[in-house]
Amino acid sequence: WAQKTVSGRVTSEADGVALPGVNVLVKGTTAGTITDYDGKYQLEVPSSATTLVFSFIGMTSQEVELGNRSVVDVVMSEDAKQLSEVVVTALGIEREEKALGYAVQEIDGSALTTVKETNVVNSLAGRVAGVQIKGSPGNMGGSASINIRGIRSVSGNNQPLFIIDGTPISNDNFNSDDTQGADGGRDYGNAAQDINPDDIANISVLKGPSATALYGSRAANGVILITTKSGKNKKGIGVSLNSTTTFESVMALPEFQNEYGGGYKQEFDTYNGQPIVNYAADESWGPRMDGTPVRQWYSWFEDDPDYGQLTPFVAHPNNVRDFFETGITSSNNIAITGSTDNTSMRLSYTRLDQKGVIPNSTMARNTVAFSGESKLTDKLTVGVKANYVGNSAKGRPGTGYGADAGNVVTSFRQWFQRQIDIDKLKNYETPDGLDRTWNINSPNNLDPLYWENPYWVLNKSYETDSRERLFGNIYASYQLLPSLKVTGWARTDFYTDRRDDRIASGSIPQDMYQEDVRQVREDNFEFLAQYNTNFGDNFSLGVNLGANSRRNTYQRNYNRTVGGLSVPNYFNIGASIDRPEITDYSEEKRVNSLYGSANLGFYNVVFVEASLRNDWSSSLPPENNSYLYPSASVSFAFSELLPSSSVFSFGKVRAGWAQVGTDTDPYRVYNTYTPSDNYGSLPAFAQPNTLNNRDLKPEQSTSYELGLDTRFFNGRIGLDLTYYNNISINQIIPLAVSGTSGYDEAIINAGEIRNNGIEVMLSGTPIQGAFTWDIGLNWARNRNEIVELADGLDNILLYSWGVTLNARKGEPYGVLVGDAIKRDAQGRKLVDGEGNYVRETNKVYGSVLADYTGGITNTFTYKGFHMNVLIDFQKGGKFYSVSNRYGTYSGLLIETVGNNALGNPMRDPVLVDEDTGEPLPNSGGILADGVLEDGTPNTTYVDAQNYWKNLRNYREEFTYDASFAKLRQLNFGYTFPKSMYKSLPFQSISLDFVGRHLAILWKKAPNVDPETALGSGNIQGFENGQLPSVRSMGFNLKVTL
Amino acid sequence: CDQGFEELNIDPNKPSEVPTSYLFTQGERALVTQVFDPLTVAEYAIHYPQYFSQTQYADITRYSTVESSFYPFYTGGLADMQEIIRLNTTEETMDAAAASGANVNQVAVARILKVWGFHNVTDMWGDIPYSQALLGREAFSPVYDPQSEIYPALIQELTEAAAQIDENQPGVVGDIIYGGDMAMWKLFANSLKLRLGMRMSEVAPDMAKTAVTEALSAGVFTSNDDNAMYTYLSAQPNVNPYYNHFLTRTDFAVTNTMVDMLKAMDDPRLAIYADPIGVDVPRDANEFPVANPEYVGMIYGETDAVSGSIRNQEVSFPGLATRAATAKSPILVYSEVLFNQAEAAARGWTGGDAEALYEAAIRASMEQWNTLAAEVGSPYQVTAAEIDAYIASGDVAYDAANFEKSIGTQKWLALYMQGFEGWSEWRRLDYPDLKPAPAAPAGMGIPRRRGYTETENSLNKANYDAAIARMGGNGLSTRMWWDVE
Repeated sequence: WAQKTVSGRVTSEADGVALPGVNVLVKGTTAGTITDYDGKYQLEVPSSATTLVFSFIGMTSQEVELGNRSVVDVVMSEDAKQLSEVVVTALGIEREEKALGYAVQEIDGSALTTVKETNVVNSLAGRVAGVQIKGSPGNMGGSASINIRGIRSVSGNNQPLFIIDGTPISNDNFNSDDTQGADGGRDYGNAAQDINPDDIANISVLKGPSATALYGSRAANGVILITTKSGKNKKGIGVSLNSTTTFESVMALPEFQNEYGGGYKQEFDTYNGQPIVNYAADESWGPRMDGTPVRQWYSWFEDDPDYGQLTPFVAHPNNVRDFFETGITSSNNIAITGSTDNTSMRLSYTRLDQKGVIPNSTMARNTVAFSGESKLTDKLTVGVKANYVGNSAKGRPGTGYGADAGNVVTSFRQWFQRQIDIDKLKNYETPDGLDRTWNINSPNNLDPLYWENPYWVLNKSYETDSRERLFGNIYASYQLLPSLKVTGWARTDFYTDRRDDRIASGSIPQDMYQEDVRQVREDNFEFLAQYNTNFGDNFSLGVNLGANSRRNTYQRNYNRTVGGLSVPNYFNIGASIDRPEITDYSEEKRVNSLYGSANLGFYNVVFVEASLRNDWSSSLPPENNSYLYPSASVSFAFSELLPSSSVFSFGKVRAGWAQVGTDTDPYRVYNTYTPSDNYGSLPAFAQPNTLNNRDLKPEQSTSYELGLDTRFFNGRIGLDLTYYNNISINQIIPLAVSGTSGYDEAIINAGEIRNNGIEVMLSGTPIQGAFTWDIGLNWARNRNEIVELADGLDNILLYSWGVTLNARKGEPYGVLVGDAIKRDAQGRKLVDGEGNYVRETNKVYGSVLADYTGGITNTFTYKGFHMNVLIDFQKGGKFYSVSNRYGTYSGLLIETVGNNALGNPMRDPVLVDEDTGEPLPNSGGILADGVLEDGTPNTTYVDAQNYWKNLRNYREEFTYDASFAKLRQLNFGYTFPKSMYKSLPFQSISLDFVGRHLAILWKKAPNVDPETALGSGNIQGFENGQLPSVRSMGFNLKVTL
Repeated sequence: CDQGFEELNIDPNKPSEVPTSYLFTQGERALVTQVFDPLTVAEYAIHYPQYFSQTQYADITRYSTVESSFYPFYTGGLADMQEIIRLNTTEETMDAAAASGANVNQVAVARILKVWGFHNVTDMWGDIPYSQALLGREAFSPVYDPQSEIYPALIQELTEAAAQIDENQPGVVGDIIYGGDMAMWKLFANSLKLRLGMRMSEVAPDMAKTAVTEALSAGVFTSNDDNAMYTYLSAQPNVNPYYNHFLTRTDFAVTNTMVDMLKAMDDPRLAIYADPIGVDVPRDANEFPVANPEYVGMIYGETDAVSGSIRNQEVSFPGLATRAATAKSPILVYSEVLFNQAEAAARGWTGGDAEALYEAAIRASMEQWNTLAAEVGSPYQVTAAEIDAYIASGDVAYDAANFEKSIGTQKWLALYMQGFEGWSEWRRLDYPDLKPAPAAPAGMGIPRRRGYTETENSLNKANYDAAIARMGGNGLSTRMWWDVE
């Protein structure tokens, strides 16, 4: 039985680099090996052997005749048909998509670098089936919320886990419940916005537990797996430049009325014989803006050119629009890559600058990314991935209703006088340093009453913040055997987030200064052994065994002055007149894990995979802190068994099942007392409002998914369908309980939430050739149902601001409930004898969750020209608009003017025939649209101001369908042919016109943008003083050297 | 794999054990906040009986909202008191708790303060969770007890708690109201029992008489020195809540109802109760005295079109004695005790001289306000001669034929700043003759309660529905059990 030794090297056709891990088999036997890191192999073969088979994921397999050779070098090419794409799966393991029993969708990094979002999460909008992004498109540096396949946890985190090069990174969002509910505060955004699009090579979205089970608890909501660029596969030195500049302007402003100015009645009051405006009224039920000369607010300020003058009382229709400025965003990236035989590296620097549309708001971000890898010996490889991100911002706008937070837009949308000339407000300070506002108390008291000059607020009571962050990993990998590799990683992500805020002396709220500093850190130590082998031609086996130790720490130091500042505008905690408010908080959690997975392939047609993981979490009671969960999936590429066809190119069915256990936040097991402010020298502690639970168990989610992946006409048409079902039980809920129990909430294990849905991805190339048109469509519907809550409980209150947000048994998550106009059996609105609507309480309006979401991408290329257009859409979902509620209450919006059914101005007085009680033909007022209890039509006109003020008690009237379709992104550009600059050192040059959030193509809600998220938590569906949405347009230039 | 995890999960930010004195301090402050701070339901209590009027946005005074939450009472001071009782009666914690006063004394004071809290809750909402309240995990959805059962239970609690007090053992520590003086707490318990007993005069006279006479024989306040006052401090966050309010806003002026009546009767308390007109930010109105001061009350419950045209400097804001940083809040005072004694005599339940007690009550009120004014540096003082003249005047003279009117009117004047009590006593006695807000919805009278929060519909539906059905509606016009038509 003679043998001979055959050796050789396998390289890639595309870039000539060595291919490690290639399977080399003697055809017809089980004898084989795997190439090493240099792509080299050595194999003893029987002398009878004639052929070697080379196979590698993503490459076309090759059979090579041996002949008499003892050295066989092979160049492998990528699988041209792309039918068997390689995707990045859990633990960063690259797998053939064909072999997966679950859905994974990828986004190439190049899709993110032309039209750039300052918060990269927004770039996912409309691109991935079943992934919903919610943001607030007017908020500089604001939050983007992301949900994959619906809401799984009643009150826990429903955001996916972000993993960059294997390192889990924090996507924390410290916005308070009130900020999320649009009741004030500033939106500082979610921490994943630190990910720099220029450094992303690829994003892989792992949607379901089957795909993510190996990541454990935190990945129950899916994983956004990001691979950053490296210097690998690029010989020599390369330099690339990417520069974008865009200009931002406000859009989707409310439709204001321009007939009546400030006040509560249509006649002017007089003061010393002169007509005056009602300066104290922050509403517009006043006199007609007919040019009558009156003493306007500024006429009382001695430094005003119109001091003491009567000036015409006229409309300024663009006063709100004129307040906003043109924003500028510029982003510049330079990246240098290089590699030698044993070492590769990439160094990238990005600078982002933004000037917001709100006066005095700016943001900047510096990102440095370094990636390096070196082969120290044949078997030992070490590497590092490190990212530094430095953010700073000034003047982030306040959000929501709270005037203390400085949201000047609340005034414009809800409490304003329509005649105000914005130019007159630009001088916001008197020579004596006092606030110079339109909302003065009276002619002889020029102090601000409710609303300060908006320029005063933005220029004097601004915030500043910064976040300095480092994340990445170092690793060492050792090839123990050709088929067995062990790797150890040390990973970290830590940052210091600092927020300083101030209220200037002389403002309406008491002057103050506060500092809020958080230190967040996560360290992971991970070990992974990977074993891959083939048994003969037709069986493959992969086994992974891993262990991870995780430690999370969080510290917060918050200080706020109390009782004012000792020296005006001395912004320092030391200036606190009374003892400052202090929060000193620290938190630590540890999770240890062991896990393993095995996958088996049969005849390259059937693939089976299974995994098992056990976690130990410090956040659960000792008796319940260890939990084990399995997953299994199967993939069947049935087209391999069919005769090859020019029509049907590929077909696969897949099925996956998984269970995931989830722990909770620390300190929910043992009860403690809540510190309160001292009373003089007496300490004060309160019985806590949350009742902890000594018997907590881990949450559990069980899911399955089924999928079909088909391609036709050599891949020109692709259709991918997925159905999934997920049931989450034993949820750890801070259950809102009746306060009469002595507690506001109690930590319990309860509930069952079901999500099921369909995801459809359709791709096609309708036109191919010199002009090519690619189209991609994704569409997803998720059905969510709260199947069960705690015993005897059918509702959990999530948030309340007039309207309540609830998890209610038998309904989808997040139903809005509140008061409404009562309706009769036929659905007609009921009106009482006074002409006012009849009120009904506790009406369920519907869920904030969308019925379906999706997006359409179109790519056109012709010679050097290219164009990408992304449209995304949402159907259904409710939200409540406080802006519209008060915008009509205070007579600002267009709805509050116009003629009534009699053809008279609705704001004219109601005139009634004293004898018949019927309205006179010249009567003003509004006839509420409805019937009396007895079914007869309402005939009683009510005063317009009373009508709109009363209408606020029926909040359903201000609750809208959040459906929209938006032109989310567009770029149109040209790649200059090399022939144009042969003598220059450039390798490629391209220039694009780029636009983001260009137009709301369709929406149902008036006056506001239905995208209203102010956080990435579970509180959604509240709009209140929304910052106007912003349209962004500009240019992108890419150059490589 | 989980070594050290249990210790790691003990919250380092909050203590697992604290002296019960810390809970007393917090609990008293929390209850007082609900009864006196206009950021809470106290805002309704001070406006409905027409002590204060809103200068702009007169929505409360036009009765335009219905629901308010009582949760802050329960999760705040009441829960703290419940915890004090638990710690002082549970074997494992009793000894440690005794560092803050004798177990029996702590339990007694906590019970008394619970009664004070609960009676304010029931007086605002009617039927409320009581017997199953504050039990945590044992009852997340407590039943609503009828007010007719709560009142006897509260009186029973006061009787037992007063009896439990042992003045020979250490008093409670951390007590802002009486500094742990157990003799005072006994007097307070009896005086509160007198108040609750009298509250039932119309609906359950026999029960009322028993409670009133028991309380009087057990011993009640005998001078203004006994008054239960809550003292605020000069530094944040322990300042008087109206002081805080007027730092940034000017929502509350004294009503025309109040000012007109004080002027009509030439009541010398006017200068203490209200500021003269001419200033529009009350915090600036501390220049005393003003020559020929003029006082004008703010019209009550008018439309924005009407009240919006009235400027701040045209109306009187509350006086310094009610809104200085350290202006005290009266929890239960001697004059109220005397008014109750006068009424008991008038009803023939005791042998006292109703007229003399009535006059003594007015005198006690004047003296009490003199003290409050002096304490905050207000120069206005009612002189003895003014008191005598006032009592002698025809408008004030005791009318034995209509003691409800005499006592009701004078008690309402004396209970200024005690919104809950002033409102309750007006509802019980129907004096003085207050008129509903002119701009209130047609046919709507002065509110006789607040509606339950809609949150209860979500969290405790069956019991909430049952209570509404039993009381006859969740609206503002539904009457208390003791508020007989």
